[in-house]
Amino acid sequence: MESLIADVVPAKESGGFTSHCVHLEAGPSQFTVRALKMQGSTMLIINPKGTEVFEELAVSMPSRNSNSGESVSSTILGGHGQTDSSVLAGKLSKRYCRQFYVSLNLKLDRLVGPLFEKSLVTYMQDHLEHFA
Amino acid sequence: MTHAADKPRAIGFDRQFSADVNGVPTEIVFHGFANKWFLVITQLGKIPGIYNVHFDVQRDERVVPYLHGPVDNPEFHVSVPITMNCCLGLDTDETRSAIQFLVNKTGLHKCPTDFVVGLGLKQIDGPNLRALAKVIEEAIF
Repeated sequence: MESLIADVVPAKESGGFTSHCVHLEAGPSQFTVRALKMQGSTMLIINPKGTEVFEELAVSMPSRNSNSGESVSSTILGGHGQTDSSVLAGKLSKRYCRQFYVSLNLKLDRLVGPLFEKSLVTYMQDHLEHFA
Repeated sequence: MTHAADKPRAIGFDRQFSADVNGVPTEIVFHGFANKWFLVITQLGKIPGIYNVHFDVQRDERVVPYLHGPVDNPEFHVSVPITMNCCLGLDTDETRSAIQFLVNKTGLHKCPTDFVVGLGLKQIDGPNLRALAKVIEEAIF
């Protein structure tokens, strides 16, 4: 994947948890993804490269009925109702049938949003061991 | 106290390790973000509760005797005044007192901003909290 910057580090086993940090590109902007993989859930903290904050936090769960393929998500810190974090958490939860905590602190617009999502999911798919 | 961090590891946060706290394997994650510190302490393999902790008195505004942190002498004990918001999970007196204890006993009170803690302890009591505070103090601060 060409949008990947060399800063990829292998996460190693530490008890049950593993963590991982990577810098990715979405069009002109770069962003940093920090991932914490736990038993049955994953936390993602996404920020613009260089200025990392922890503003929003959302959590989502896959539906108990696996056939429905839906997920439920909620913002638990730094926002109300539907936020960028909760939307992304819901999508990831649905896709990987796993609980996700997402802190998404990027300013996304209609142009950069899809690029960012594509960059993120492509990387996650290629390095699934760090995420799910 | 054994830390599983003998070999050099590549991790995604400032600290991420597994430690033995009173015989219970405990996962600890710490990262200092620009606006918040982020801490996970769990013995359950997941994050059952998330708490946002706000300091009532900012670090620079504390009166001189408390500038260097809480007074540890039991006779003159003064807690660091904090406000906890439970964002996720059970909001019990036990978890609240555990967070207050950790703030009093570790470098958490040096936090210049708010912090978010994900807490999942199997048993909350004096010996366990003291052992946990010791691990955190040694490994993070």
